[in-house]
Amino acid sequence: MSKESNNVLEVCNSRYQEIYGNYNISMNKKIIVSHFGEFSQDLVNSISNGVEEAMLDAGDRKGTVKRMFSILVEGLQNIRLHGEKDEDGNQASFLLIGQDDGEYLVTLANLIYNTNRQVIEDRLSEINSYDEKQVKSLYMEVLTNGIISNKGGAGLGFITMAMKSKNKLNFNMHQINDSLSCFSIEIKIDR
Amino acid sequence: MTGFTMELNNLQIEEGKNTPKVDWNLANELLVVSGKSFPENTKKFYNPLTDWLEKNQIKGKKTFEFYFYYLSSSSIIAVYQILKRLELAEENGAEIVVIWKFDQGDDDIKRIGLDYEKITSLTINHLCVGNN
Repeated sequence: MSKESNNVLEVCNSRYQEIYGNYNISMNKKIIVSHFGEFSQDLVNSISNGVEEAMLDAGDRKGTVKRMFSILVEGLQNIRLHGEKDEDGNQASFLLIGQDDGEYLVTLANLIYNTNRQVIEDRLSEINSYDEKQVKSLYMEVLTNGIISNKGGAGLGFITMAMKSKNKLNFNMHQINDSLSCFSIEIKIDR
Repeated sequence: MTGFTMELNNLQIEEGKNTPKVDWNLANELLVVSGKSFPENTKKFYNPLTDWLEKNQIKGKKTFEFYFYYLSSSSIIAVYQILKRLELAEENGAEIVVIWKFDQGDDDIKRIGLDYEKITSLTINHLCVGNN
């Protein structure tokens, strides 16, 4: 059993290394944040605030900084609320932020149950098929019917990410075993 | 929770790292929520606010001011739920004034106020604050 759990961590970690390598080598991006493992609320706060400061120092516009802040808050909240755990109780998840002159790329990843793959895929495909105006009207619809779950989620996370990114949301589902997949989402923010 | 007072007429919550300050005292005419809002559990943070509005019958003129630096998406829904209760208070005879404050250049927060205006019957006064 623990062998399989280790495998979950290993597979997630190899996805992390792969994306790290892509950012670093193929895309020639400077990696400004990389974290593999759990995300405590304290860590979420310090990453969000730290990136905000780093971007202001790097001369990014305030609007761009706030869009990044929002994407991180929503994405990390998603991981904390919905990231599944392996059999050892590890919430294997990761965050990578790459930067170059033209853009930021943010990858957020967490474990999901294979049974939830379709729902997530459908949701993201729906959002990606919409133009800006349609995304906004979906946002207004969810807001008006607004229900907050006991976990604290409200169904606006992906929609908000799409609105702030102003680009399509790239995502990937990497099946690990019969029960779990590593779900990653890549968000692009133009500088 | 530290810095939290909830009496029948008075709800005071100190600003946290990711939660706003709440200064709601029925003895005052101005009731304020301000700061960053991305609580770990949005429902847990905002339930006392909506409960408070349900328990206290608002009479006469009250001004509710919202001044956010940042609102997570679930906080946007939670604030909408507060506005829905203010709508009810207004239907029950209270005179509710909503002030939606935002920093100059903060289009995100400004836009959220404009969105609320479209989906509630409340009159929302949009107030741009200073040089930023």
